[in-house]
Amino acid sequence: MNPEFVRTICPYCGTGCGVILRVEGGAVVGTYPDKGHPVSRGTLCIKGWTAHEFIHNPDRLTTPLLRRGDRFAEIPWDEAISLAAEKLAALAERYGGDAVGGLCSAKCTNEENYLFQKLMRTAFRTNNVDHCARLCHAPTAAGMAQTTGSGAMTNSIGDLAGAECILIVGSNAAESHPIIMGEIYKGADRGASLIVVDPRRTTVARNADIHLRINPGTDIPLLCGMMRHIVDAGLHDRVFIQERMDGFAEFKAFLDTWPVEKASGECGIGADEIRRVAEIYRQAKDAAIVYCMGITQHACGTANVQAICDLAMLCGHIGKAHWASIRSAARTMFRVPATWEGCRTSIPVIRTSAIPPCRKSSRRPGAANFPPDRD
Amino acid sequence: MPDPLKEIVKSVLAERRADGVLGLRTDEGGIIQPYVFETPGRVEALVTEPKWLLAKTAMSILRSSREGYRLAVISRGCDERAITELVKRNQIEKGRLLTIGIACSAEQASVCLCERPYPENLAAGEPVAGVDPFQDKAVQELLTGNGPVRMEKWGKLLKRCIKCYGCRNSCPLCVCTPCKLEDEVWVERGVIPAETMAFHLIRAFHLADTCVACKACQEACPVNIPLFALQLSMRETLKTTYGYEAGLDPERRSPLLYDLYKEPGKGRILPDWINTLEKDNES
Repeated sequence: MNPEFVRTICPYCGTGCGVILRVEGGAVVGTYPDKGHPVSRGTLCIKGWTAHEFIHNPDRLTTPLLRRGDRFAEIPWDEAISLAAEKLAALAERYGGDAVGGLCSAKCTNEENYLFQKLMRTAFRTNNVDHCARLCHAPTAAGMAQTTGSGAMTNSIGDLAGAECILIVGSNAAESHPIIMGEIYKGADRGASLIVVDPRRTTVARNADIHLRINPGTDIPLLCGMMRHIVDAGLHDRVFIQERMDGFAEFKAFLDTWPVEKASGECGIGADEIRRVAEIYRQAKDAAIVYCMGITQHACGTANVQAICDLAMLCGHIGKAHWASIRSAARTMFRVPATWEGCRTSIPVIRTSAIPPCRKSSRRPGAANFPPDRD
Repeated sequence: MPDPLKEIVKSVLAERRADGVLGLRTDEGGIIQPYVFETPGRVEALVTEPKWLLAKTAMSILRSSREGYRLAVISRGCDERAITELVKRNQIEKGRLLTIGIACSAEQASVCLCERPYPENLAAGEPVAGVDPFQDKAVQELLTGNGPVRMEKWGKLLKRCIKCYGCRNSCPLCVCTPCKLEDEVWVERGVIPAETMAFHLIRAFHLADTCVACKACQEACPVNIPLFALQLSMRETLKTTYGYEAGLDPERRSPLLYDLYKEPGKGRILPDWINTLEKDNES
């Protein structure tokens, strides 16, 4: 018997910590933190430490279940696959491909997500395919693509520890992404100001220097108030704006509709506090913004993301070592399937299905054409 | 020139002194992970860095392996001391686990604030001098000086705890079943941060006479709580009051279990540090 150790990545959140599984006789019996992993560096949260426990858990479903009346019956895989294929094909045949829709998941692999959209688009001839990331990651993909150019974290997780100011908006990293929180605490231990914007008194908020307890859903008023003050006080980074930003005049005109007092009335934070926080963020040498589902899971999620990017760009806090717009993904495979494969508006390799040349470029030999977008 | 450690490991395997040698292995890409070497041919991939405590892993391998399976483990000083304690506490069957001792570098010793950066049974490497942890500025800030200030500092740090149980899981001496930290009587489960200081103080006191100062708890902490400093005072007290240090003498039992009635005089003296917080509060 040779006890085996298998290096892998924790299957839970998007932090992607290194775990080492101990395998004995084909069964996973334990998890250890990976000391050499660049993100987690030998630490894990409780999810990681217990990551092996579900693998052989007797509660786990291992066979398809078919509902018969008010009971579920176990059926063989062959039968389940045939049944699903026949019923879906019959529906598509009778009512057209758009009668069928599919939702895939961040808990599936890249390959599964790819195959899933392929199934929907080429077998059923429909674009009705979406992904759980629609709710969580899509606002980032859309919002950041339009502002900073790419819907992804701008910096590495390790960069957080070097920031002078860390603005956390709508993220309870201490519970959702604890290993990232460790880097934020490292920054705080080195003297970074920790500013948390959250209607809830989260663990992160309890450990912050400043907690802005805004009214739910008023991130944009708060951020606009901060930006308005920065512009009013002439603190914006003129060089950066001139070199890199488009449409600053229009943006400034928009901010004119957001006096700090109006923002204060909306979000419930005192005008002076908004000004103070804006100045702390602006005047830090390197300032990072961390946001998460508290920003994206709103009807205005995309605009929330854009407001965050606008604040960063206004202050020139982008493109530097410790500037970070960290978007913490809630699930392991969020970013990849969301931007590559599963979403209705994307076709593989981050191209938008709304643009004809992109549609054309995805036609590979042997592949069926993508169905036309009916919107 | 052949690497002396690799030669030792090869001979241990060739002479069947152990069925496997637990150590670290590197692959072509420089990725390092624990590995049980069972044939001399594989030993070329053996590495000793980074510091990666293997005592607890060795214990769990022995527990689940077939009867008579003998394991050797590449051991730093702290690993060896942990194994000595585990044998004393009947967690490891003596004779089934062989240690192959390696010395830590001076750099590692200063990172760990290690007083004994080498095993008693040294097989390879040159031992370097130990470091006095009480000379470290960060440790001094946590353990000496104004009580209320320290209390606030500790409170701020402990409030970060996410109860990952990483300190317990990685500690080679945290082996109680059931674990008191999972007992609802003292610390409510599923609530973070852990209630005031109870969680960490329970752990610290449970390890009072077993902690071998390996620093695994602190290294495993995702939120950088200086857990190592929590153990230092008690280790020091045992050392000065009873001349006892966990993991050194395989024959000597902990004074907390044994010497209190055998040497009653010593057990009744309260160490000075017990009252420091109160004194500071009065002033």
